[in-house]
Amino acid sequence: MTRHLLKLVWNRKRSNLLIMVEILVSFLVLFPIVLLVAQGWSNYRRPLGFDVRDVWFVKMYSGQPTFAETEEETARRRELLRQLYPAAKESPAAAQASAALIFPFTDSTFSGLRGTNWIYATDTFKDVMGVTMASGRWFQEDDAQLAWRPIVINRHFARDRWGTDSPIGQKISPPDADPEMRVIGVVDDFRVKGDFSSSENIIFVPVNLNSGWAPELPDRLLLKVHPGTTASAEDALLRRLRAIAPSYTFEVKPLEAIRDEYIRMTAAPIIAAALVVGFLLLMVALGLNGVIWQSITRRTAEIGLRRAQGATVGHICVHLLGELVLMTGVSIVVGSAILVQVPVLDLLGSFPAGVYTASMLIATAGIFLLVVLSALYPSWLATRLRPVEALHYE
Amino acid sequence: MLKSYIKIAWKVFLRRKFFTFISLFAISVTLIVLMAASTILDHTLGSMPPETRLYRTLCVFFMKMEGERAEISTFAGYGFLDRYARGLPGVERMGIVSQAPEAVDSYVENRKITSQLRRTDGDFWKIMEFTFLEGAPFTVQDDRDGHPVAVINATTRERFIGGGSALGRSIKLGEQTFRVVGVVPDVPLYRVLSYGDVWVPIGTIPTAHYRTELVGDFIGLFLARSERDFATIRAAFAERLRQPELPDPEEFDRLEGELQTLAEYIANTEIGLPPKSLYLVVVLLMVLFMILPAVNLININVSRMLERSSEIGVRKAFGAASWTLVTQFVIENVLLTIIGGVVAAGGSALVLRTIAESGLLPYANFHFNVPVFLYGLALTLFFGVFSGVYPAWKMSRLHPVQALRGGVR
Repeated sequence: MTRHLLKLVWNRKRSNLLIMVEILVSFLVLFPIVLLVAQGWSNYRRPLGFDVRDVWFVKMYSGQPTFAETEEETARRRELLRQLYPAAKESPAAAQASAALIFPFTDSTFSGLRGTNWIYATDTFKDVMGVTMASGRWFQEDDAQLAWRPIVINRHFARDRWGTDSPIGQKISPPDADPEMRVIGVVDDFRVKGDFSSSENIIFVPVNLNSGWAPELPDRLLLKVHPGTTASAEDALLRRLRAIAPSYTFEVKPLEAIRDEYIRMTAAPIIAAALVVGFLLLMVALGLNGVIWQSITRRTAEIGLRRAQGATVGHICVHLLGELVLMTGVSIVVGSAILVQVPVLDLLGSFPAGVYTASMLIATAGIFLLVVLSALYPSWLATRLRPVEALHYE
Repeated sequence: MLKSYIKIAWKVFLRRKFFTFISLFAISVTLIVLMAASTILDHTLGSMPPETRLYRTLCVFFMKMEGERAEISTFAGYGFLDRYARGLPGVERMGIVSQAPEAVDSYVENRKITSQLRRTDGDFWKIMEFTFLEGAPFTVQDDRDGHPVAVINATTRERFIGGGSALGRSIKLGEQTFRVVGVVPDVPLYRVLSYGDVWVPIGTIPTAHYRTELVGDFIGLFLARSERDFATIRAAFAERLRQPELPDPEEFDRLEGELQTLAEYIANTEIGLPPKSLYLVVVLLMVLFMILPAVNLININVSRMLERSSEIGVRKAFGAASWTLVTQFVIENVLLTIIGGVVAAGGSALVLRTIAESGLLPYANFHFNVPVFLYGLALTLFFGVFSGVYPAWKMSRLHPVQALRGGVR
C-alpha cells in the first residue's frame, strides 16, 4: 500500500515537492514557538522556592556606583546599613525583615564562583522569603563565631556538584574565599530569576552586619509585612529610612508587583510571536485546503475509474489522506533532521533534552493535525462524486 | 494593455471567490506583520520628535576603563564628557543625558505615583526639538547652578496637578522638590535618548561625585553639522580618550569608548551584530519571514493553473510570447498583493493601536508616515513579484495544444 502511494506521489513530484516544502517550512516555524512555550510552561509549573506574598523589597541607592567606592565610602555605607536594618525591622508594618544583595526576577547575577549565582543574606532571610529547607539548617546569629564561613546551597547545586552524596559539611573553595566555606544546609530550590527560568546553582552567603562579617554589602532591605498592609504604609516606612540616610534614594516595591511585571514582560513577546505563528498556520491550512481541492478536481477521472473498479468511498478517502500523510511524514523527517542539528551544534543554549524532544513531538502532531484538517473537506467532496459522472468528466 | 490585464485579472478574482479570499488572507496577514514591525523599527530609529535630528547625532554609550587585570565597563562618565569631549571639530552642539530614567516615587494625597526621572544638561534641549505645551526648557545656567527646576510630560501634569497650568507649581519627587518650568507632550519608551516622565538638571544630583567620573551613568550626544563629518568627529573623539589621567594607574592603563549612531548601538550591543549591518539583517529577516507565505501563495497559484489553461492555449495559439504571459500573470499577482496591501495597512494600524493601548510600551503612539508608507509599498511589490514569478513562468510554458484541450499534467 505504502509503496503504491509512494509511486503515485512520485508521479506528480513537481507540485508535490512544493507542498512538501510548505509543510516543512510550517514545521520549522511551529517548532521554536512550541519549544519556548513548553520550556516556559514546564518551569512555570514548578515551585519558585520562595513566597512572594506580603514581601516588600526596598532598594537603596547611595547615589554612586559601588565599584567606584573608596574604602571610607564603603565603611560609611556599612554604618548606615547597620542603622537602616533595625529601623526596617522595627517599623510597624513589618513582621520580620532581612537585608540581602539579590536581584530578583532579572537576569543579573552576582557570583564569586563560575557557574553559580550568589545571594548575600542575613539570618532572617529564610523566614522573610518563606524558603523551605531540604536538609541541614539555615544561618544563625551566632554563626559569626565560627572560624569558617557557613553557606547554604540549593538542591540543584548539591546534585550538580556532589551527586547523591550528602553535601552537608562539604567545602567549596572559590579563588578569593577567606575564610573557607562549608555547606551547612540545602534548600529545595530558589529560582531567583523568576517563574520561567530553569533551576541554577545558588549559593547563599551569610551577612552579619554587627560582626563586620559582610564581604559584600546588601543593596536591598526585605520586609515581611503583616497581611493586609497597603501602599499607604510605604510613605511612613520611607520617612523612617530617610531620617537615617537623607542622601540615599529608596524604592519600595512589593515582590508580588515585581513578579507580575516580570511575567508580563516575559510573556508578552512570546504571546505576540505565538499569535503571528498562529495566523501563519491558519494561512497555510487555508492554502493547503485550496491546493488539495484543486488537485482532487484534477483527479476526478482517476477517482471515477477506481470507484468503477469497486473501491468504496472509504478506500478513496484513505487513499487521498494517505498520500498527504506520507508527504507530511517525509517533510517532518527532513525537518527533524535539521532540528536535531541545533542541540548537537549547541546553537540555542540549554534546553533540557526532554523538553526539546517533547516539543518536537508536539510540533509533529500539530502539523499532522493541520494537514489532515485541511484535507478533510476536499476529500469528503471527492467521495461524493458518482462513478458514472466522474468517468465522464472533462 | 495594462488595462486589459487588470480587467482579466478582476474577472479571474471574481470567478472563484473562495480561492481569491485564501490568497488575500495570506497576503494580508504577511503584510500586516511586516508593516507593523517596520513601523515600530522606524519609530525607534527614525528622526522624529523630539529626536528630529537623530540622523546627524552621534552618541557615546558604553565606555570602558581597562587594565591588565581589572576592567570597568559601564556608560560614559559625566566628568569625561564635560571636561574632555567638548569642542570636537564638526560638532555643532554637545549634550549630556543620564543613560536611563530612574524610577522615583511620590505620595500625593495617599496615592503613590512612580515617575521616570531623567537628568539632562541645558544643551540637551537645544539638540532635541520638544514642542512645549507650556513654559520653556531649563537652561545651561540652571544646570550649572543646580536649580531645582523640572520639565514634565502631560501625563505627569495630569497625575500631580489635574487640570490647569503646572507652571511654577512644586512637585516632590523622592526626597527632592522641583519647580515646574515646562510641560511637553508624552515621549514614548522607544525613544531611547529622550524617554522620561520628568526631566531635571544633572546639577541637582545631591553628591558631587559624578563630576569627576570618567565612566559612569551618562550618554553623550554629539550633534554633527552634517553626516559627512562623522568620520572626522570619531577620529577626534578617539584622540580625546587618551587625554585624561586615569584614577588608579596601577590598575588601569586605558580608556575606551566609541561614538555610535543609535542604530549602530542597538545593532551592536543589544543584539550583538557587527555595526552597520542592522538594516541588512532586518531585510534578511523579512525575506525569511516571507518564505512560508510565498510558498503558500505559489502553491495556490500553481494549482489554479487548470482554470486558466484554455485561455493560455488561445493566447499562445495566436502568437503570444511566453514572456508576455509571464508579465501578465506577475501583474495579476501584484494587483492582488496591492489589494492585500491596502487591507494590511488598515490591519497593521489596528494591531499597532492594540499594542499602544495594552500599556506594554508606555506612551506608545504609532502614526502613519511617508517612510512607513514607502516601506509598505516596497514590501508589497517585492512580495507580489517574489510569489508570482514561479507560477507565472510555469503557466507560460504550457504546451498550446494540450492547454487548448484543457489537459494539464
